[in-house]
Amino acid sequence: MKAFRINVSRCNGCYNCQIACKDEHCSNDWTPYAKPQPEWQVFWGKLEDHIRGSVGPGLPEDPVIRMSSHVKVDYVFVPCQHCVDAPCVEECPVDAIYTRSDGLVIIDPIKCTGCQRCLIECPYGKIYMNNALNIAQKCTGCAHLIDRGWPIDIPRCADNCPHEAILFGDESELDLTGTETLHPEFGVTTRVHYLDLPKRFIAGTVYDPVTKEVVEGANCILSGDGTGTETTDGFGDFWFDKIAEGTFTVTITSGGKSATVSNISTVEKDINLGDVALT
Amino acid sequence: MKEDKDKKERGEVSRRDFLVGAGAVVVGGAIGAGITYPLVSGDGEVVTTTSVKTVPTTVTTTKTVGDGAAVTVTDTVTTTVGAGETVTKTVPTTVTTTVGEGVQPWQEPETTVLKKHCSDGRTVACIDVKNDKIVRIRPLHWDMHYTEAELKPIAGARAITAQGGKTFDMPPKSLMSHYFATYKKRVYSPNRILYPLKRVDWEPGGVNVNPQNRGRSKYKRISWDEATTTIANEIDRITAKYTPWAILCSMDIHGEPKTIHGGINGHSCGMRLLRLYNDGYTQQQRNPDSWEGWYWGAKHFWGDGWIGQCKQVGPLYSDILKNTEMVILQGHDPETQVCGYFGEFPSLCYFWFQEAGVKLVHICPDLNYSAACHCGAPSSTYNGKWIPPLPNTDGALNLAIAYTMITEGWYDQEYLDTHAVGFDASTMPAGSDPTENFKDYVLGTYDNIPKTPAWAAPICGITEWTIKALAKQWHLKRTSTAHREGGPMRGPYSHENARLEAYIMGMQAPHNSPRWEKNFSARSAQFSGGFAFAGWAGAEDPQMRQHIAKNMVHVAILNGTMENPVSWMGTTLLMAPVEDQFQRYYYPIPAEEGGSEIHMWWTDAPCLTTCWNGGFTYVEAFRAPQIEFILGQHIWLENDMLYADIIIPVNTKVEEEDIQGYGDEFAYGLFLYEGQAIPPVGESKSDMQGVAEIADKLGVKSEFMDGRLTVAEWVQYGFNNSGAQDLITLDEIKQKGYITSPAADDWQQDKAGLIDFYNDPDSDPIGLPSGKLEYYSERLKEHFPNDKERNPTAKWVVGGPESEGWYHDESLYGERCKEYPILTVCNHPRWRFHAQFDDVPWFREIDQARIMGYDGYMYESIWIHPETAAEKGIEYGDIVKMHNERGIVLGGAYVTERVRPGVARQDHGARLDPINDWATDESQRIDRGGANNMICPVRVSSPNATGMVTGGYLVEIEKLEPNELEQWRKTYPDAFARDYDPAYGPLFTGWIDEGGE
Repeated sequence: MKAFRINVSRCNGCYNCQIACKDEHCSNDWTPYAKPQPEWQVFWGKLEDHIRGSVGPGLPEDPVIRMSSHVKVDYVFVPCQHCVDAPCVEECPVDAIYTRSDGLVIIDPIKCTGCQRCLIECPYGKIYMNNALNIAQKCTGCAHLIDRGWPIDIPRCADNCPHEAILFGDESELDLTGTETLHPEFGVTTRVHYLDLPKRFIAGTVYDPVTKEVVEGANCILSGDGTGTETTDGFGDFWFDKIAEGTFTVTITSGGKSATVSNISTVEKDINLGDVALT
Repeated sequence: MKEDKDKKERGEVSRRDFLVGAGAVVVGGAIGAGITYPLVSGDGEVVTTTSVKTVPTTVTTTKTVGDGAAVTVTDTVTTTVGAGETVTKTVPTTVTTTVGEGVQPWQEPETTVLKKHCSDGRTVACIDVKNDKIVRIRPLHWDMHYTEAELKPIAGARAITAQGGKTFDMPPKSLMSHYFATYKKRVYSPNRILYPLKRVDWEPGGVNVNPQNRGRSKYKRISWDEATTTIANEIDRITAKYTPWAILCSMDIHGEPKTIHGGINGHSCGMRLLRLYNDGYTQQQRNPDSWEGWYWGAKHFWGDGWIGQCKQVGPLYSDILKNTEMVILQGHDPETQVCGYFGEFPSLCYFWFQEAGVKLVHICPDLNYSAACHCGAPSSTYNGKWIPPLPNTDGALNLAIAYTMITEGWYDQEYLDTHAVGFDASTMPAGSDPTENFKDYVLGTYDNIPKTPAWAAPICGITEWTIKALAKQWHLKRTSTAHREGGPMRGPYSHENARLEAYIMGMQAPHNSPRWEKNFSARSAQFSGGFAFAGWAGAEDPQMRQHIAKNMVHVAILNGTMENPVSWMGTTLLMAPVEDQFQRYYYPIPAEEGGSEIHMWWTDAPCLTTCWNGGFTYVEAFRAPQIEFILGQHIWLENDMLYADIIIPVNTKVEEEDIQGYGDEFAYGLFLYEGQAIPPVGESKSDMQGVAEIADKLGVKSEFMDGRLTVAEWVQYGFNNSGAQDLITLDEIKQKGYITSPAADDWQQDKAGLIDFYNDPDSDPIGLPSGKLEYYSERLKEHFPNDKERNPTAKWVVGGPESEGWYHDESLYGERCKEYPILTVCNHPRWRFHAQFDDVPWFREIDQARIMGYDGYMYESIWIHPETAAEKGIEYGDIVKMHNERGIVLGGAYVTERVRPGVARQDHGARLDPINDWATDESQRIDRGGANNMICPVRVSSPNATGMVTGGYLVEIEKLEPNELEQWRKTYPDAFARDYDPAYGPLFTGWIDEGGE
């Protein structure tokens, strides 16, 4: 069985994967695997930007001066998930969608009648309608390259990826430790295993308003819908990363001074607490 | 669950099912030779291949060949083929098939040729071709033709053990940039110039020129014969009427890297022709465009070195992995700037640095693409810090850091006593004013402004405590600063920014080193291309007797006359010694010295409008009435090409056979044979071949071609002089496409940076009069005693109104900021390589690149913080006017936390789509394409520093209301009627006069 392993923390957002998929499938006809992908605004393999955090709030006395900013971007590559129990395979009224012996799921471009049922059934939204050809289309895992074996025998997204953020191979040989499914709430078993999917963070910078210096080595304790301990670094920064969506309290202590920030909600988004004063 | 259906019915075939039919394809083939997949043996032929792959399993395939005898082929096999001949073949496991009857298109063979990065850059990729069409562009796997041992990686540049014990090694393939990955879309762009063009209302002869219509009137198709005859006649006519120096050549950077088919990056073939035919021309002298601050500033601190970035030797990444604890990137973005050149390897280096525990500090107003992914929680694989100052305030930030270091004693006084001049009064040169030392300026001893963090905080918008923390960390940690281009090095007074940063490095010298991300690799025994077909003239070249600094071309053409020449300081030549900055140069030079005003303009690098200083003013220069002929030579109809009179179409690299020798593919030096992948598109020719046609009309073709009239002769000649000829034959390199070069035997003797100077300043003195780091520059004082904007000791200079004697009023402390309160960040672009790749749909559909306006037009995104957007009443997706007195540039609002408030961030280099580029009231000139260089200052860095200012200047941003856009639509119907496709942008057909086809 073939599977993908996608490591979000090794993705630099170069978009080589999304581009590789276009390069392979736009203006190239790989019938019986797939007909060409449209050039514009169709993404059989899509890189999603998750911009997390915020620029620090302005100081009350001069809002041009910003407290510490804590922002980062996580990029998540989403090809077809080649589900084990794919709803599209189940629901295609003309049996145009099938699962191969290696697990890759293919929409037969000859058999497809363009009814668009599969577009509705796919919970990941990874099936696209090609209006010019009147067929549904999606990622094939570059099955044609795998079958030919030349000039490469893995999908283009994996081959183009400079950082091995996308690995493709036998599921039994991939190191799937710590990986998870994208959107497990959809209830399908997929063959795309993700490492370091973005969760939530609470970050901030600790400073002493009297000395007007950051505090290094402050002890920060997270409580609430998750727990953790961090020590501030030389910039006074702390990050509680990979926490859940929920409500939290951060308690900071250092050298007899302390600060508590409570009722921090990460339900909507990641939180930058800005500069927290120790008193 | 669906049952697996019969494979054949579905067309699913595994590679083992292939049967080899009788007779077929031999290794090699296609136009320029290359590796043909699938590899098969031929009927009765001896086939030797040297493709070797590491084979995890043995593949056994039954083949029927030649007379039908069955043959078993395994990994390494002796095979009998045809009439009893013996073949030894090692076969890649995956390649065992051929084309026989009934093979389907998806199984048809492809040929692979190798190309060095299309558009200026390194990294090599494979171009797979079938039926004269590019199928794909993908990384080169190093083991395609060589074993690990044969690759001869540079010892020590592989398997580096970092501090902390982790080992990092080269990836198994070339790390192609995302630009290169899209190149198919450039080769087949709808904006390719398919045939020579002539503007419909221009005639040769200097009478019916209609210069005012350049950029407004359209083109008609003409033949190569008519084009080259016209060009040759115009060259002769203008030379005879004026002098050879009446022809200006704009022929520099960043074209495609070509060896045979052009000069540097394809450019300057025209200069080669005019040098031999006319014995001269006027050269547009390229400036250190991305590095102005280093060149005009830091050179006066630490001497020369490449463009002012100090002495640099690789291998950079191993030095950092072993020795560095913190890297500061001040306005630097290796994910963007460097990857245009070195592919994704710099990105990989930064992941390595993170894994090795190196702290990364990103100082930039925007969360640039490196800060975005090499920045985050220390508990994961990230270890970064983002500090966003206001644009062009880095000087104040660095002064406050210096203040903190001085007052806390966090610097090496002893080192500065022996290695520097002017850090404090005790080392000021004899005869100078001792109060002009750096330390007293920082402390505010004489100006009563101590440059404290509290002073800097409201200027740069960063808290005092973060500034102090940065100073402390810079002192405590062994720190490298990383730069390549852009950022504060391209703003007003960039020389002060650069020097102030360099000053701190000097203060931390014992464990600091500046690093410029060019020299990643160890020095290899480098291959070359064997020759230089053309090239720019050097400063001493007689051809330079009349030259125009690139930043001054528009001013020169519009204002320079024999009676009243314009002038500037320095040739601006990249490698000119620092002393050159004290020379004044003029255009035109006196007639008796051969000078002439310009009357013909030949450009093969058409991006002055969207990439240089004040694009709307360049448009005026193109329309200058004295310019009787503008000749354009380019691949795509874009930017400056819109203003040409005749255009000759050029190939891309993939349409040309060429060779490449270069030394910086990470651990390898490479020599490439670049086969011709596809035939020329349309009637395009290479730069060399096209200019040779002009040479032919002038009767000098053979001289122009050095007597080698065919590409094959040039390939042979270049190969024989490349260094590769000692390691491989030409036939073999044509088969394999590449060979790596070993490291130079003595590469480990290469010293890092200024280490010799550090150990003993007399042994390797700084290339300045004192031989030391010059915090105070006697020569700046001597040559420019009244210059308050580039001072002998670098200062925080805000400028102000011209009425008060200032050259720039682009800060928040002058007069103009009242009307234009927003500072720009105009980076080297992520989704273009400068002006290139603008019409690639696969980039245009990425939101950070372009946003679709309500009118269906793809606007160049302007990043705006939510607070600033709210203040201006702008929402995500709105069309935004970014404007100042120099004009209006449109963009799409990308409202984001990735930029600090008070800033409009729009990448530079968008393709021009002018709505109105002729209004006499400059503020009413409008560009729809998002080419913000149209409205950046025309003025250079400062009165005596001839650098360009393309970011960190003032604008206002406002939502473009529909009624205003509709008004423009009515007032400028032609602009809105031009053919446009959101996927590609403005189209070639929009500029062609249908009647003329």
